[in-house]
Amino acid sequence: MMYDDRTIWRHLDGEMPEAEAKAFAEARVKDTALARRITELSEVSAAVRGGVPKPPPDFAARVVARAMKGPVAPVLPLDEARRFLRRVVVAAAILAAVGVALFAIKILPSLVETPLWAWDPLGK
Amino acid sequence: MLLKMSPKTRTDDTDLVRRIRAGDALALRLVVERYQERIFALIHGIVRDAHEVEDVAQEVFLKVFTRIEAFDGRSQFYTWLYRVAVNAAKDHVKKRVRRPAVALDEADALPGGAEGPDAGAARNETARLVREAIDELPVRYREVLALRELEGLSYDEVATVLGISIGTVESRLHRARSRLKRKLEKAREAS
Repeated sequence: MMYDDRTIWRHLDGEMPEAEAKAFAEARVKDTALARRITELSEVSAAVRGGVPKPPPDFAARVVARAMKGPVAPVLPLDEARRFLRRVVVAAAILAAVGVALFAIKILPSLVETPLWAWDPLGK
Repeated sequence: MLLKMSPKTRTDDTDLVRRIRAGDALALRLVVERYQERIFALIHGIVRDAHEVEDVAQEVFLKVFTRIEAFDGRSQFYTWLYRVAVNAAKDHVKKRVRRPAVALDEADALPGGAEGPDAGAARNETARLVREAIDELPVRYREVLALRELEGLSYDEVATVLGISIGTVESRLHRARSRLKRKLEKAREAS
């Protein structure tokens, strides 16, 4: 029986039903061409599994350290813009507060000198 | 590297998840130590650049810590973790500006056993050709290949992680491997 690559892969992946796997194993022993194809495909699998980088020894410690720092989302340009806008708003609020304070110190006393019922803003 | 979760590991995972939900950093550390090699392998299988794997892996484990509430417990923890890793790796591939060269010198050495220098060289050449062929694969093929070959998941588990049918898993795997095989055959004919 001829086995296509897809079937051989199912065998190598352990995805073949038991009865089919048994027949396949018997064919493999008898058929040297099939055995060679299995070896070739196994080599492809082995090569795919090679060359995987390993984590550095302190990887777990660094992940935990970052997790403990709090927000971990990467800083995006939008975040930078929001931060700048927040600074502008805070500065504007401080300036407004200073303005109100100056108004209270300089202008308000002169208003207080004139009783409200006598105050004539149009100067009639 | 091949992964098969024992029932004990699954129980431990449940306990670790409960502790991470409570903000236990030690539990996060245990999860990282347990899964880091597999997550590195999986991410590398998709991202294909050894220099970028660590950043993406960190992002994955930090997501585990900050978004553990998104894990509803209906699937196994490792299935969810792999889904987070696959999505992070795919997002990374979409976002990044491709770098011109991928240095993978450390990847050239495959376990050779007691073979002679010629056989070892041939094996390294095969590995190099396969790596080049994987680099050229679309991400949807790389992800099934990585989950199957590097993580050792069954077709059913790969389907669960990726949210696709078993038939699609099998056909993507077949296409990916066929491309790798053709590339190898061409290279052998050329030499």
